[in-house]
Amino acid sequence: MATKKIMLLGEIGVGKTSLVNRFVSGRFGTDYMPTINVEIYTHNLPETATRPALTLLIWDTDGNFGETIFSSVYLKNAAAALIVADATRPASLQAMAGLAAGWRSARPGRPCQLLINKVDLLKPSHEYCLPAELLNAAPPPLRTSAKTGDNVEAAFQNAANDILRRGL
Amino acid sequence: MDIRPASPGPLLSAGLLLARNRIYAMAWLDAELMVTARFGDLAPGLEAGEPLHAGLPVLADYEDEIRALPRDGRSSFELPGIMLVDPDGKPAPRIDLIVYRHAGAAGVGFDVQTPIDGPRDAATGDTSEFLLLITRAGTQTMDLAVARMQRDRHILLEDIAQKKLELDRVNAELELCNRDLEDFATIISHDLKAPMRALRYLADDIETALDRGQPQAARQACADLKTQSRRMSTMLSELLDYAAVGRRKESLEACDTRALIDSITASLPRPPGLAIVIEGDWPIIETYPAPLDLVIRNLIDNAIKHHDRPGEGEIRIAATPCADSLDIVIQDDGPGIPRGRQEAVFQPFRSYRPDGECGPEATGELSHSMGLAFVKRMVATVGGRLDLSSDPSRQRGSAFKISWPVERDARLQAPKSES
Repeated sequence: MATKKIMLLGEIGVGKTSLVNRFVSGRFGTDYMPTINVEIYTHNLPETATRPALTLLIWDTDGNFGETIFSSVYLKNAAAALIVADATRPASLQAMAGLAAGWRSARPGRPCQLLINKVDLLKPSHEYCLPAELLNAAPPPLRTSAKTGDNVEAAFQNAANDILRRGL
Repeated sequence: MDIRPASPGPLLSAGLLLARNRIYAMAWLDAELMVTARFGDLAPGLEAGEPLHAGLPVLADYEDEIRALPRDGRSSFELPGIMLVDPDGKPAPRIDLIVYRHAGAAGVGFDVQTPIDGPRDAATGDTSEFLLLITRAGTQTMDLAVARMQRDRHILLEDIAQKKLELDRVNAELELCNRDLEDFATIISHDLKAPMRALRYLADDIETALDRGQPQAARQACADLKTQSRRMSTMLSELLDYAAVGRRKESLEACDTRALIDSITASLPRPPGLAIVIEGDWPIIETYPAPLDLVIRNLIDNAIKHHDRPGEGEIRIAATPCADSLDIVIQDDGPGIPRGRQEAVFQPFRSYRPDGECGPEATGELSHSMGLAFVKRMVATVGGRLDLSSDPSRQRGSAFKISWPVERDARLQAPKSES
């Protein structure tokens, strides 16, 4: 079975670990424990009609890396990235724009999906505002909630499909 | 690359001791990166006879870097601070992975056949080429704990700051609501009482006229009653409009203020002799055009309608771009507003007339009585400022100065205007 490496990037506290926990074990914890350096999750995706079985190696990174992650050894051979921001923290959306630009430059041609997490915390009258650089992002950002599970599975499945479609 | 001293015997002995205490593990690898031997608890997936990436998939992408290590026994390949989380979500100990390559026979690298105090299978045969050390990253336990505390604090402070901003915003809104409530209580209890009272009196008049057999007088009182009820209805509608100011979501747009002022002055009817002079610099700004239109329109309309010598009067409208605002002054040469009445004219259903009448019962045309109240409320809503200067005892006329907030970067251009 092929193994593909996916990086989870984003500011501290945006919910990267919660997203991967939701995806890998279907759980959501309320205890917050920041990730130090990296935590690596292995998850087997079964074969589908359009895709062979695949093992994802998900590198959940320390939000403190910021854009220095792109010059670290951790990024080696990463096939795709999920870049996460917190819908309730505008600063994390700005950081997401920087990380997306860094990823495109460090790993050109590798898919990158932007995730606006914690949308369950958004009040109807307080919609987040994307930085100008992300307004025309392709693919458009996915609204996720590790708490409710909204779009979490889709985010990882899309990344896996993109990796195989591009032959990475 | 990191340079570490390699001292064979003590290293292996120490390694065994540390492995027994679960803070160290070792594995020997051949040139194909197959595991040839291992010991220690920190490498549960590594089995002799299997390739390195089978037990440690995290190293699967780094084979080229490992094979490229020089044979000096000093250079190493490292992945520090890794935590492997098992499929049940249980984290293993946080580890550092370090791979060394053996030095040649005459080198200074590891002599893995050096007798050590430990299980014989810990040593490898001649095929071993690489030494993988797995160390518990907990040697930095204190640093990690401090780092975690700092991060928790950082996030907590950010959350507190955001919550405080939100609290301030809600408090400001609450204060505004309380003021609105107070205004409304005043208006309802006082200003709407007047037409209510008139309705009651007119009903009495109708009753009296009917008792006296005076149908003509009764009809006249009925007509007055209808007028008063229409007036009351207008007041209520205006009150609702007033309450809605600032509650509608406006969008920021580029606004050519010169075009705006031209369109307002062209659309307002005025007596033939009343001149309007536009002067100053009218830039294109990014703002809320509808509220700005409403404010300027009401002030000019007010100056036109309250001018006592419209046949020869003049209204001057000037704009001055400032650092954070666009200042607009609307000055007329009408009768002016005495200082003692200047606060009242901004209140709902209050207006001033030079003949001394003031208040809801005195206003002939009700649409005028809410104009300045609308203006003041709208300017406050966008964070601007409205000042009135007038002193009829010394000089005719009134000047309303609006400081309309403009973001410094939002001003697009500032063309010179004509007078």
